[in-house]
Amino acid sequence: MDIRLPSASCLCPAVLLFVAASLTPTGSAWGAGESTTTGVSRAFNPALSLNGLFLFGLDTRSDTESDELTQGIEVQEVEMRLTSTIDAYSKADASLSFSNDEIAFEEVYIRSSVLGHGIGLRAGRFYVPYSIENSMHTHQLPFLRRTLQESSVATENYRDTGLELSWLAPTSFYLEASTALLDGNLPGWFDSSRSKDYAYHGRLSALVDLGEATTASLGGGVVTGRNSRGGSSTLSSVAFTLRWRPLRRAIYHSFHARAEYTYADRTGTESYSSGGFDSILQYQFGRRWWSGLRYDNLDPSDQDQNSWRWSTQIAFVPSEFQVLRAELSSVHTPNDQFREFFLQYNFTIGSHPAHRY
Amino acid sequence: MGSTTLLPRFVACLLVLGSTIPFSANAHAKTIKVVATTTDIAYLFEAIGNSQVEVRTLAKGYQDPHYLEAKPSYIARMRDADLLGYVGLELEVGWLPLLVEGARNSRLGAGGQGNVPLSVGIEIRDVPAGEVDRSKGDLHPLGNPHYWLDPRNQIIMAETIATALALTDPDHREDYSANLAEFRTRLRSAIDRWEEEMAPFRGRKIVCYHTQWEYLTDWMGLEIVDYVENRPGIPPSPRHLHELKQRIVGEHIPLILMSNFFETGSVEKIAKSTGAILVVAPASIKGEDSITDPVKLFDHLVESITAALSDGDTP
Repeated sequence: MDIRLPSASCLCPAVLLFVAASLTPTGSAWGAGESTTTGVSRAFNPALSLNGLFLFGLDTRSDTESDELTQGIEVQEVEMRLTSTIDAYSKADASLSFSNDEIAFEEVYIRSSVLGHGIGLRAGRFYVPYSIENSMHTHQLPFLRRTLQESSVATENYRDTGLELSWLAPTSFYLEASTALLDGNLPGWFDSSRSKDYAYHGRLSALVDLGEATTASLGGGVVTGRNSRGGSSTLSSVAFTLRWRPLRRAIYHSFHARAEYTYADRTGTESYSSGGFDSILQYQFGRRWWSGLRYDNLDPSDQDQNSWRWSTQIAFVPSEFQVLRAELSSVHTPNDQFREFFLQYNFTIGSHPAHRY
Repeated sequence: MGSTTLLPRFVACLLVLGSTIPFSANAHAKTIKVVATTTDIAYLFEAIGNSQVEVRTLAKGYQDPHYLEAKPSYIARMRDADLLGYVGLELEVGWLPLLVEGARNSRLGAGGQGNVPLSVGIEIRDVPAGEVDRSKGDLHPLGNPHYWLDPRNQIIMAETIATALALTDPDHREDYSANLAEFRTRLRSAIDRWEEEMAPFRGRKIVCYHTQWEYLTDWMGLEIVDYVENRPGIPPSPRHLHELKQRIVGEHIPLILMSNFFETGSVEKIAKSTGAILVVAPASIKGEDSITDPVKLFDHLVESITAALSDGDTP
């Protein structure tokens, strides 16, 4: 095509820019090569996603000074996730959370399997998977509130910086062992002032198929390290999970049951220990509908400290990118009994990595 | 217990862990270990690789391959695999990345020598033009991934597999080439027969439940005029179903085609109220017990579709 340009003397700068833009059409072979000269390429941008969680809460308590939301409407959390390969050897993940005007790096880590032989490496800051619940991001939690036991250890998930080595055993069933060397940074638990006081984590998980639709898994984890009270701290957990999803009608029905026992122990001055468990049942009764029931109990053997809670939930899932969940709980603490109601809306935009099984 | 005692224990755990690793477990394997995401791919690997391959399949033939769960038992199957054959075009994006990562087997990852996308060399259709967003349902931004439902594409897939096997195991290159030639001849002969059987029905209009039959209908010369799921993966609205019924009746559309991993209740009602014939068909090998190879799969599809179209012609 013959393109005739008007003489330069009659062109203002804006017209020149317009003409220049029209000569480098985006999406054409010309446009594809532009980054060679501009250095601005979007071809290697990481996968980016954003989760938004909105929560409405009501409860029957007269005293609402808890630091967790119990009344009103709030943006519970906004999480941004970036995932990409770094190079031929490793990948990187980062998730940032925005809540109550605070920004936090939930997780930032690299991972690699270049060593082969079923060995995986992860380095950076990550949720320490000593329990199933502790390794979940807020939008992944099966119920809207963390378990009583997890909440008694810390107000947020335990995340730490370190190096994790995992190994997939060469067995006919799934058997995975992992261990991690961690900086040791959890207030009240792993907060020794000595820089060489690390925390150490180990986990063993096994899963077997009980037929084509059903799996059973058993796993346990422990993390131990020094605290600032002159003693050591240990968090440990063991969990059993049963899942069922009929393959011929996979998008319509499924079932998930989980029981997890978690134990926390701290020695030194102000020694402390507590144990608690939670049991979860979830049933998908339609393409877009889920129901759930949870019972969790903290310190069942200690009459003075014992707390327990029943929760029931129903979820409407228009698509895999948004969900509306309503949850009603009956809570019994040593000093109070009350009910809570929550309504949570959760959406995902962008390219969010699939969650682990 | 101080850190001075904890650290040696931690190192000792690592040494125990490391000592159990069977460093030579895979180095001298005689057969090529293949993981195939679908039964169709698994069949082709077995047909071309014959006794040189050991194939493990992830999705069952009667399972929707979009919606597998990333079960750790699948990860165990992939740990020592030499090749991973998959459909690609993001069909398995909801679960395969987790399995590849969990397997810690760098051969299977993107760019790895065992990573075998079967979409190579296939003319991909329905690649969205312009911006893509999820308001249009579960679109595949890289194009329609159900290409194995055109039998001519099965030959291209077999060629890709023969190449991958020959690169992995050059000693048996001639075996793979001979197996490919035999498969190609067998399928081409069947394709000629199917095309002859479909010839009287070319140009006929049909309705499908979900966007997955386009390669098949394009090869058969049928025209898909509408879908029950007008946005892929999104249950249809009552309004759309009402309009669809009117269209089926108004345009005398004789056939509604859907795969056998969807619930048929609502579609049966549409068929009953409009007089169209509902064909619930397997979309993969082993989608039904008797369908054990591509010839039987397309025999079944051609036979059930031509039967329905013939019945639809009967006044």
